[in-house]
Amino acid sequence: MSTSSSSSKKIVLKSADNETFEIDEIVALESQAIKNMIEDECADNVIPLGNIDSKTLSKIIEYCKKHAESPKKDDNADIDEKAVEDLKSFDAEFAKVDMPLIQDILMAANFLNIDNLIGLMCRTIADRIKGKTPEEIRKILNINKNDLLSPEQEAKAREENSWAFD
Amino acid sequence: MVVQYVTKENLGADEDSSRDQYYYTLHDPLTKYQCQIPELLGRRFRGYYHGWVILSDHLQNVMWSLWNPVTSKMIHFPPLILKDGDAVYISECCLSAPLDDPSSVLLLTRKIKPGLVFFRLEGKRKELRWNEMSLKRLTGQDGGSIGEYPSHSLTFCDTVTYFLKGRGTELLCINVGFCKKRIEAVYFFKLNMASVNSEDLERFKSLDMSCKTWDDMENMEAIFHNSMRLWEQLFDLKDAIFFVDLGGDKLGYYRPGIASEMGGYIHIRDEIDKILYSYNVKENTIFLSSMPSLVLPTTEVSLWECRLENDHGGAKCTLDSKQEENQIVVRSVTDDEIGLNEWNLLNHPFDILEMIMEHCGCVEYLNFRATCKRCEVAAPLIQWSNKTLLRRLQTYSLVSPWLVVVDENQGIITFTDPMLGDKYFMKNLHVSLAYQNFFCSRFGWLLFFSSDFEFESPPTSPDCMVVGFARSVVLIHYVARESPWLTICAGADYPVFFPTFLGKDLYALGSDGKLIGFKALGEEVYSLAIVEARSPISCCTSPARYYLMKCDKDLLKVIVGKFGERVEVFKSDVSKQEWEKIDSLGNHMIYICGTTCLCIEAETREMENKIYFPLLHSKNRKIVFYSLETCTYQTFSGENIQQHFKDFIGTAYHLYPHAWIEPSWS
Repeated sequence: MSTSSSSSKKIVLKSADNETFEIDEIVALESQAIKNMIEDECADNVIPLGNIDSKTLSKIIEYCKKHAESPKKDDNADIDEKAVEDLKSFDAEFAKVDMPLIQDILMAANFLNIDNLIGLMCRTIADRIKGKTPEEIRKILNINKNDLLSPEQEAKAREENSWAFD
Repeated sequence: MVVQYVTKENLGADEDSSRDQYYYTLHDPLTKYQCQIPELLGRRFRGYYHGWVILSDHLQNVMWSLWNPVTSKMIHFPPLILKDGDAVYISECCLSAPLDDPSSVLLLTRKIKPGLVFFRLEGKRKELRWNEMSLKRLTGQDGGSIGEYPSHSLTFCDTVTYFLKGRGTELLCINVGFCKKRIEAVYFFKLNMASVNSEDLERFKSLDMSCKTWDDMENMEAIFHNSMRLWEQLFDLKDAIFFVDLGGDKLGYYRPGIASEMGGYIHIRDEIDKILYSYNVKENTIFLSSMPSLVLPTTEVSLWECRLENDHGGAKCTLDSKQEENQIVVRSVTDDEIGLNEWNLLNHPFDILEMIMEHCGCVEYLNFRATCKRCEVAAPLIQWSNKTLLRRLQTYSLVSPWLVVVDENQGIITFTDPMLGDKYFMKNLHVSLAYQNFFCSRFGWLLFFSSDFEFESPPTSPDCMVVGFARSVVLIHYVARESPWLTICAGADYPVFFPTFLGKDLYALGSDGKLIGFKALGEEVYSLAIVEARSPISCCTSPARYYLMKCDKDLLKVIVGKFGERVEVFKSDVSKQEWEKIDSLGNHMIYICGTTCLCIEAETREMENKIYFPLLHSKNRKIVFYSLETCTYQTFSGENIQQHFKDFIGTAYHLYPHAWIEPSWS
């Protein structure tokens, strides 16, 4: 993960399983949380991310790199349409992972405060539950049965739902 | 488990007493029984009341007996010898009350001479003899609860009307309407003669209420139409059951003694096809079931109920418990997974959950909400009519169009999702839909009122054009321009069906299923040309139904046999005016019904290459579709595909106005 261009400043991220990732600062700045840390100068050269494993972190870095490379909307009013399309197809490809990883990425993105990525993951989850029954959604999202609605509550929810278009 | 039976006794010319009877349950029409019941040998099945079967000997009608199929108890009556020795002409019979009721009477009516024979079934039965009585005396008393009512029928045009005398002074009328030889309307009316004022009673003066049957049915029909406003339409039969035999011109009525949940149906036996139409009065739907192949049109059919010995709900219970076990297994697996991977929706902060919800369209939102407590809290109940929430819905597209059915009696609109089988209801209607009919559904808008109409673009678009067809003229209205309706003389055959826009050209089907085209309709200088493309050659032997729809830049014609025994899809090359039969829709899916046909690209793999019908499976109540891959009818059950059947038997169709709609919240 250490593709470095000599001139820019490097940031090292350390995952929960002690793997380190050296990235350009510009890539790290995609994360609002890291950006704040750097601005507040409370970040050392190595930023430990104790709640993100290396698999998830490498995915997040992949995302941030691509998005950091792409021209920002406010940078240039007439952004290349091709670049926008390119980013869209990258996002679509990026989201083609299994549900546990999506949820891990979502939680990590939330921790690191990467707005675009949070949005992408939420959209992906919403797409995956499209056309599914509550029972199937439970399986997909692995919802603990301790948190299930009681039969009465579920019946009530169903009743409420079925009249929702009034 | 309580089962209802239809017995068929072959009353052919030969009086072979060893013949079999065929039984089948109305609740499970596919299971048929062929058996000999010793009690019924040499006897004729005359009626079923209060758990007892009334039997008579086959030819003479002299030996009468009551048989209880549950206990196998048999009560024999002394030989019936009438004063004039004319026992053969007994027409109707009934048991007035359960046997333990001291007033219980077995009544027989005579066919030729007005008269009545009864046997009082008192506990002690001191008087073991038949009594004869003139009919006047019976009608003088208050009727009581006489089980069966005499009937007579009259066939006219495409409607069959049955009248029968109800309890006391009640007059009942069942009206069965046909369209393309299939029952498309059933109405049930009641009139209490006691409540009719003297002026209105004049209309009925020619009607002899003391008579059990009415021979002058034309007169009866006229009376009915003249007194229409007096009749009250009934929308609920409670537990009563009617049985109409169109072939035998017979009508029966009874209240089930064992299972009241089987009530509320009018069973209609078709005279041509071996089909039993079971009309559910409350739901206004018709279930189709087939008659066993051995049943001839002349075979006598009667309806009764009986409890099957091996059938005390055992099978059903076993099945349920099995399913229950499966569910438990599935859940415990899920629990393990939670143990292994420590990810869970619950780990997500609340605002993330809300953000996911924000990306969910209406149905996902509802389903997501129902998954767990946390989701329910994160997602408040939304009134979807709330305008501020429409933003969410506008960006959302459903996996499938919904079937919309208008219950005119309750004023409720039901939306059924063909994929999940979920139902949604709408009660607070902005418009009164009573006695309205749908004519077209496009872009999520329904068009109702008269004649056949077609939208060209959504009504909110500036180009929206509504085209209507009346007798040989075409009416055009631009919704955005407040211009009056434009009338064009078309010279086309009327009526036309499924008008469909293909660019600026309009195509429709004539009543014989032929394609009619109108070129460049609505242009400033329009050229009106009627294209009559060559009809595709269909293999359908029964009266077929034709459906026309647009598929991208082509026209599709779907031909469906009367009971769906054959489904064919043809693609038209408009330039060549030729139809080509196709075996696959690719990634498209078709929705057909009497008013709206849609052909759209499927969003999910499991939905494609299928034709969706506005039919419900009679058991699982899910929308029925025809798969072009397997050439069978099926229903969805979760992600699995269930049931394979070859025609519409075992499905139910709606008599209420219905259409497919692509929900759109604009």
